[in-house]
Amino acid sequence: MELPDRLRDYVCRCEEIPRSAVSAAIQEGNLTLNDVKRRTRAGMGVCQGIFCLRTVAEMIEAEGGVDADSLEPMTARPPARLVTLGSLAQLNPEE
Amino acid sequence: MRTVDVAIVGAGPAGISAALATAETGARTLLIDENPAVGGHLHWRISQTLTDNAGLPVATGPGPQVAAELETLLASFSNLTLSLNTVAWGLFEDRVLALASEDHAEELQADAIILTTGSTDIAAPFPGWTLPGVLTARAAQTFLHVHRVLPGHHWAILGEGEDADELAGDLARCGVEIVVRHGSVDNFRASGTNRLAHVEIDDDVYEVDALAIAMGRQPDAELAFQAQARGAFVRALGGYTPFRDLNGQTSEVGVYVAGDAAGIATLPELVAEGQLAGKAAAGASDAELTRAQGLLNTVANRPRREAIERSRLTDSLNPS
Repeated sequence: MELPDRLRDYVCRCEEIPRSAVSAAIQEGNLTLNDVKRRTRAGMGVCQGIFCLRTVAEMIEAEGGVDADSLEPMTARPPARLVTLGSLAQLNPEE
Repeated sequence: MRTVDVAIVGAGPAGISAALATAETGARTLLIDENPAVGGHLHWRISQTLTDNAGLPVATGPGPQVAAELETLLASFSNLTLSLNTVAWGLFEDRVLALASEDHAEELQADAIILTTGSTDIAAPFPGWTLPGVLTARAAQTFLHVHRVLPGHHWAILGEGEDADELAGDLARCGVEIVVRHGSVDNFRASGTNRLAHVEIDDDVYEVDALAIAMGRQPDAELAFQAQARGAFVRALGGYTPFRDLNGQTSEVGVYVAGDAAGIATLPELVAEGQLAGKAAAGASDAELTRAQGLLNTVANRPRREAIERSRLTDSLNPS
């Protein structure tokens, strides 16, 4: 049954990726956090995976049969917090 | 580029403890926090007692008052700089730390970095969890204790354990109604037209206007992973944690992690861990480190310590 948008259970709320999309990616054989991230965009939003990383790891374990303890975290990339373009522009002004 | 001896990210109890330990050695210390005051989760405590076995001075009273006393103590060190309202958003090669505040941005280099960045709520998704009115337990506590705002009058609490109990106590003191408490996301959903109006558990429907997700917390050590520190998902520690040696140093030399960021801990334990990392980062003697390790062991939570032991860096990985 297709749920109305507001009732869908988004695994990644930043990028609005529903559980069904992550499940489909795992079924396709994406069995690492980075692979699921590249396939679905889960973890690419403003929080950079803080909330969904764990859920995706548990889904890979439950649906993909890979022990979550053996999963590398998603590649962590800056920024770890929201920063404005204005403050970034202040860095290295001489260059 | 500005340089400091030790930069500490996160001025909660672990970070304050680390900063006091480094400042006492005379090291040029920078303590950074994104909030307008030091204290971290002390601000959510109606009453808080610090005992002297933890590396912080003895103090008791409302959490914010204890935090203010600690801020005064930090200010007494001329070699310690406090940067509040400042986010540390990047940690790069050679311990270069990127900082930003509303009107300032810089990169600085530190001989040692201590990450005491604390934890993030765990939020297992369920249908409707992104509706306005659904929030995490920590968000609810921040509304209540820091902003003095009541986000709802009829509450549901999802999850069980210390965090859920603590929030339920806070809400009861506010005189609001806790309509329903439920332990797991199975057969649980939230619904409403434009905001939360109901939670549904199996076939039962409850009218609520706020729902707190209190499923526990996970370490937030993202900066360590940005710096290429090695780590793993360790359930007993709450989630992804960097590997570290006895003093808290990660696989990246000079990058330390302590407190909840290194695995969810009790207050005495995270404070003792901050102190140990601070001493190590400031180059304390082996005798002093042994003493700080002993102190940590006396306050340590056994299962957490054992999980850390199992995920510890081996000597071959860590040249120190």
